[in-house]
Amino acid sequence: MPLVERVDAQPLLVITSRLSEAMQSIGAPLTPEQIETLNLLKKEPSDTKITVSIQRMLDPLCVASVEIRADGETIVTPSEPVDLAENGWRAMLVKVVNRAGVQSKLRVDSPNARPIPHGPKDDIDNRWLALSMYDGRPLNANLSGLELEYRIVQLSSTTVGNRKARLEFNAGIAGSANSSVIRQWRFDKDSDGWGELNDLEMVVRSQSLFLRANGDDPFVSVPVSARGGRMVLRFWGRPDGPGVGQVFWWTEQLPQADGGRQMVFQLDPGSDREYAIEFPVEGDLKGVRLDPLQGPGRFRIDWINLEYAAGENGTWNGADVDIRTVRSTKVKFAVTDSDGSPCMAAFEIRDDQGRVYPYPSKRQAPDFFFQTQIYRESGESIRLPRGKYTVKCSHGPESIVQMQTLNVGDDPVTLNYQVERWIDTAKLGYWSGDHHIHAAGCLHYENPMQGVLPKDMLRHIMGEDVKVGCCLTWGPCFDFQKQFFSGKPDDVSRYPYLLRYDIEVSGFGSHQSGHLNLLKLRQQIPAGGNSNRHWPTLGMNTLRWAKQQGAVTGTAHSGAGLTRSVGRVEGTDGPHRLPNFDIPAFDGIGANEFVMQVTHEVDGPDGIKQPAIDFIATMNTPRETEWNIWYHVLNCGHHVVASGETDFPCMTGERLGIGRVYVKLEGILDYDQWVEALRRGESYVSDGTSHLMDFEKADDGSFSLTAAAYKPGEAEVDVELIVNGYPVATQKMKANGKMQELRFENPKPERSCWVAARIFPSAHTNPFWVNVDNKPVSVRASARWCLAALEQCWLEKQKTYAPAEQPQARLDYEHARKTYQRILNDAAE
Amino acid sequence: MMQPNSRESRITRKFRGASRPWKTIKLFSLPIALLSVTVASGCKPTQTSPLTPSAEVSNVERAKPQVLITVSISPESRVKAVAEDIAMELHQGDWKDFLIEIENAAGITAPLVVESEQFLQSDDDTSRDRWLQFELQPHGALTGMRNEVRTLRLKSRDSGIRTTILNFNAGQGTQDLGFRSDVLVTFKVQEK
Repeated sequence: MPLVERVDAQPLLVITSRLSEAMQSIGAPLTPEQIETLNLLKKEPSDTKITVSIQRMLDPLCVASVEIRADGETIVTPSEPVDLAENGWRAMLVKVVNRAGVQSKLRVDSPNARPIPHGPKDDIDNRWLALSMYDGRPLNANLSGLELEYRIVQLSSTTVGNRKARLEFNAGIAGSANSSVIRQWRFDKDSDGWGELNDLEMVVRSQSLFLRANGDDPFVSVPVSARGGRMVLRFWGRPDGPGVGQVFWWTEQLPQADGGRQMVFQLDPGSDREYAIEFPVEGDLKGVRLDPLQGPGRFRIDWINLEYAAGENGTWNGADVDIRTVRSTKVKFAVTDSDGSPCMAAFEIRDDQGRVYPYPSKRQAPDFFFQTQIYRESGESIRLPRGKYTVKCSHGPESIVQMQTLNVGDDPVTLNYQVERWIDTAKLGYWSGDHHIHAAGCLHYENPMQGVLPKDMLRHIMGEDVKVGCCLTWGPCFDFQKQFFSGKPDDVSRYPYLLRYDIEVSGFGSHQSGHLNLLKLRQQIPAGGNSNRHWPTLGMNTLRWAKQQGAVTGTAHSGAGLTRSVGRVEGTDGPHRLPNFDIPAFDGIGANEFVMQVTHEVDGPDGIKQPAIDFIATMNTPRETEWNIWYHVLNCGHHVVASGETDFPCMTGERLGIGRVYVKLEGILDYDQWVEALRRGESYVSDGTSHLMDFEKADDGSFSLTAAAYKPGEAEVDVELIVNGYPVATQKMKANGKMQELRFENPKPERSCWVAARIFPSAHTNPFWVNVDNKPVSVRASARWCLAALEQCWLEKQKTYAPAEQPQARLDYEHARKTYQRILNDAAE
Repeated sequence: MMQPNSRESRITRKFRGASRPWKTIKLFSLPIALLSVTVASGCKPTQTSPLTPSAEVSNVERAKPQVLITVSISPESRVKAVAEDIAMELHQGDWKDFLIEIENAAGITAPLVVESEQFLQSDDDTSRDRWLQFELQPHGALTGMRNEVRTLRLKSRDSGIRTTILNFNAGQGTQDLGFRSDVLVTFKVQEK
């Protein structure tokens, strides 16, 4: 491979570090030694030594090098033989020696990767390769222009044995003399010339072309002129259903599309990907027609390029690379819970180089590309190449993670995993739940339109041992996902795992007030429309609608909007800044309008007044924000409970069930009873590593609970008794997973108060209310905080309310203002 | 969604010629005397490197600013940034203005913050990896409007090819997942 003597170290180190992060994120990490070398090079003063060292480290990982000469021509040099697994993807590097300093996209092509449908019969056996460049985050799509850098190419083989693959590369720039790009179409303003529709509607939105076919022969076409030759129509898109698409073209000599000039391509339903359809043009091209579907359906297209195929333009050059493909073997799963019952579990499978299987960036639902683990149960299988693997097995945080070694040979093998639990809360009457997960949006897709299906979400809640998953439909995917709302647990539920669809007010309606989680809805959408464009803008009005049908209501990602401080009121901050007396900016979408909402009661389904908001979401934002506002409203006597959520995959895509609520329920699990017990606060919140059960007050005024924590690497945890937000007693507890009975002496309250237990930051009970002299709980400093917070919230949120709702908003805030003022006046110091 | 090309910006067109969306925060109805509130922040005119750059305004390149980055804030308040496919060029020691287009689907009013390990930390910073000076104008709370535009002024200490990773957030924990809140930008910096 060509060697580069010296480039500026600053960009080389940044770009190479970024490459390392990209390799990590797609499941093909550099080794720890290579990462350490990279870190040490950051302290090396010599640019030359850094340049040489990086090449010495990364050249062996390359499938080829591409030298782009100053005149734009490319010279490709193959590497040593490359090992692939049958039908498995692998990431390799391409070394780019960029003498021309071009900042365009490096493209790869191969005659061995051409499509099989409509291919020449005698060439089918030669089409055994799949390949694509990885240009996604955190990489830039284009070359940097630096003389030395490395890019990622992904390869897969369908044929076992030793073969030669022709890899051809191009780094042309559109419009330049060396360009292979004939025309680029982009959709930031309009359809950029695509028209002449048949059987479809076309809408341009968010820089994409949305095609909606409504007949049996949908197509769209565009005029384009170019000299003949082999061409490739490339586009990035996502069809919503299976089938095939077609490309037709016409020329100056034969100016009509006909069946003699067409290519067929396979649709990849539900996936965002690049399509590349190669076709030969005899004569001068005059137009292209795209038939994206064969019947009614939808197809989103982000961009379209028309290019000359490899070999049709001087900038494409290649070399033969030896590929050795080994057979893959079936690996079956046999998975049981600790009591021997079948269950779903999480498996993270890595080879001895740390590479993740199945290859993440090519995964489709139910496996998520942004996770390293997959979820499988008994009877299911995957295929792995021969080799030795380390498998991390788990079944949620109540299980003890097992590391297994898996040896895969030529014969099918079974991976046996029996869950080992350190606790089984369901057997103790506490049923876990995550009240905020999504089947679409955020990490599921860059541009959420549909998301995944209930059966996919069920697999994940079962694998993480979340007994109740509240899958919330929200703005960007609303019109597709709303079909799954049924007002009861979804039919895919498999007891004791319940999946139910409800609503998060996010991206529409009153979202700027702070998002609301609406559980146990009977009607998903307010009267006046069938989507999300007619909802109230005042959160209180959303709650009025939800409460009239008996919903259980709460905030979402509560700390959002509470992290920045705009001031402070008098008060003494507690440990962990709980409570604290900084006034948040209320500039986000968490528990913001909440400070007003907790002072209100609204009509329930039977006309009886009930609290407007039942719970505050916790466990997925900074505790000093979410627990702080909770403490302050509790200190004003508002009986709002805490629930636990993840907001998967928005706050994190690692896994769902990172934030949980454990609800006490005798007998069998029933969704309606579970959510009503949540509303009453018969529960605690946790990240799953700590548990605080049966928190009770004895006749002598003492408090008792059954607690357990399992935190490998930590000897013990502090269990604190909290009175009105401040710890009044602490007991050390071993974090060894053993259940322990704890008792706290009577805190001897002089005034009414609330009492709770917590293990910071991983668990918190709901409050126990202690009544002294029939007085309500009212802490002056917290009333002062709430009053200031209310004013700041009004300042930020008033402008978000529709004019028609402004009078109601003023009344609602005024009610809260008077409530807090009264508490402030009545409270003792 | 991939967006591989440069484009004429609809947001830039919308705001071209318009005054910048300034906002002033006042706790007008807060019972200050009673509560002893200290107003700690509000809208500041710029977010800058910890240097003293404003005296060098005369060196600003006068060419019409290009859109460098589009920042999208999702309904879930996740901040995503995308670099436009434009020629990234600077002149050593000279300020250059770029535009940042903001699409605020969440309607939040938190400040937009830009961070980078390549930002210079002092006037005499000689670290190889810190070479970039910046100003974000105006700096401070977003308006909550669906679209707005801010100016990012950049100046390079060095010449040659230089790379930076710019990270955008609108408060703690708002960075989008999967590296989507930051952009890798490589500049060709002409020697002075």
